[in-house]
Amino acid sequence: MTWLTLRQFRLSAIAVGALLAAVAAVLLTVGRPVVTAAGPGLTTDDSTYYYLGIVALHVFPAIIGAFWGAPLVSREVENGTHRLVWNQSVTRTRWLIAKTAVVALAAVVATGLFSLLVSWWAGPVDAIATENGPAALRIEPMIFGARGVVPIAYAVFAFALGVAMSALLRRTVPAMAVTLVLFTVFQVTALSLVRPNLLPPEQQVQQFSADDTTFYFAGTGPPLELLMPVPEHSWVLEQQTLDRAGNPVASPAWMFECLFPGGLDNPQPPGPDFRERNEACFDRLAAEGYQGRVTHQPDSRFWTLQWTETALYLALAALLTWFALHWTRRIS
Amino acid sequence: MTAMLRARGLGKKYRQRWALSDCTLEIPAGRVVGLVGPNGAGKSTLLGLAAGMTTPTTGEIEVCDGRPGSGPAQLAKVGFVSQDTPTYAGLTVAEHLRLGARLNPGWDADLARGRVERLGLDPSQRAGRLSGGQRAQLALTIGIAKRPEVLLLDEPVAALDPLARRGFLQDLMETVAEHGVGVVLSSHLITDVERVCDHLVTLVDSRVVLAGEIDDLLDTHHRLTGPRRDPATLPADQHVVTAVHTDRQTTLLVRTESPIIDPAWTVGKVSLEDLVLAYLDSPAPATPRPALEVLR
Repeated sequence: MTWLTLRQFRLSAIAVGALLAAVAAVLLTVGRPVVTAAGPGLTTDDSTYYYLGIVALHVFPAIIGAFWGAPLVSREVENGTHRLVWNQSVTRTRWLIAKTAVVALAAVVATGLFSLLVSWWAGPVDAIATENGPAALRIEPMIFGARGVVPIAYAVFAFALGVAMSALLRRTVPAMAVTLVLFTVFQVTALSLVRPNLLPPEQQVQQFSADDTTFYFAGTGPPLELLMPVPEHSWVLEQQTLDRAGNPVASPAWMFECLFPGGLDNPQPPGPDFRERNEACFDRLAAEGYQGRVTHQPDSRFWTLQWTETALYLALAALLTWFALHWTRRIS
Repeated sequence: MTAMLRARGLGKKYRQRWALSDCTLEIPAGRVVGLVGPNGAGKSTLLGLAAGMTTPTTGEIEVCDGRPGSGPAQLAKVGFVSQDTPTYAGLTVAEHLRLGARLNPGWDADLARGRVERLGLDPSQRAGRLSGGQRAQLALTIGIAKRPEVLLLDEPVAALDPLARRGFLQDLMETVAEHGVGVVLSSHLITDVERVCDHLVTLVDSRVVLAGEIDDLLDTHHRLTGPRRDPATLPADQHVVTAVHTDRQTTLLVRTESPIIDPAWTVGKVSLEDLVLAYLDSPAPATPRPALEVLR
């Protein structure tokens, strides 16, 4: 089985291998960016490569799913060759397991190499990343999905999804399209609904202080949003104002009047008065029991989150493979 | 005696349509069976069920005493070449043989190589560039070289010109004789069946209407010609398959085990083609069907 799988897989493997080689050649030719926290920032070119690398790592699993996964069963059915290969002395269950195992392994290797390559090149940039730039933290969503081991898990999942759609739809082009759509929808959903809750996020609750609270206006009047300084090196999920009972609420309406007695169009001149009045406002806020809460995933959890998410995607991939086997047995 | 194919109440339904219904058959081992019938009568369905490509909706089927497709051992016992004789267009002839060798523990490499040589196939040729006949031969080679007990061939000669068809069948018969493999061969050409088969199964409208050893079938069917007469007045053991009346004359095709003794009849032999056509023409017989003959 392995020989046949490798023989049939040869062209697709060469195509993706060539793609990887081309990316490697470009990144090696360009060289790693020279940046320091103090010194010169990212050049325009380096910035382009940096973001292209992140985008490419997010797209790569989809390519694996659509081009390696989706044709796996359907191409045989379309060409009728399933009636040749399933009538040798190998059950179709073993046939599919052998094929998915070999190609999934190739997907792991290819994505792993790609991820390593991009992480290596972007290393200097990642090293100087802070909340305030010049690059995003590795814990933040877009970077998180393009570093570490999760791209490999995405690729295995996308591949299993492609195989399942292949066995279900039995036609290559629809299977490719459905795989791409489902994978994209799943990734977007998982990003907003799953990853923040993979581990219970940390919460930091404290009183607002006049010194470091920033204001955010949803419109031109009350209520205004009060934002506490966020914890360092964290992926901030939510910033809320809590009332005395601990329920999330909007900031009290009087706070706007208190801070901006003349309205936004009529700002008060800065001065000792201004500061005193501000502090009085915040004292009243504290007295009425209002507090701020920041919900976040700290950077220290990077690898825990990476492995947890990897385990989740691999479990889903196993489930999809089970479906693929089930659907393959129903093909005639 | 073991049967190479045994079916009991076998039926297969696709959506709303029964492709095969109430099929009961028992074919002894080592036969060369011709499966005939019009298009859509259920020939491919029956072969697909026997190969284990599909599962029955009702009833059961056994091939070489095993449930089709139940495992590697069962798959090894059955060779199946489907209607379109599929091959991998991108793989060469030699690679197809390698595929066969890798996927079949009982692979007969000498047999495969010998056949390919004898047929004049270039081992380095891609299957996509072979002619229809060559592709059919390659698919058959893989089917034979896995050394099955039963070879199921679905319209193997449909794509071939008459000359290639004759060669293919001749070659098939030589292989069958050499290795003692049982064959079920579907075809809509009765001449092909007559040339190579010793057993016949006729399907019409998803049902078996005639089954048995061809010699027996020919011996028990007679064409009777005589003065016009109502077929209902025949002896009870003579079953009328078809009846044609003119003003003065009646021609009957009857099936009977006993000799025809009525001197009013001129008794004639029936050719296999006429026999099959008679069954294809006649509406589903209400009288006990000859198909039941193979039952015990």
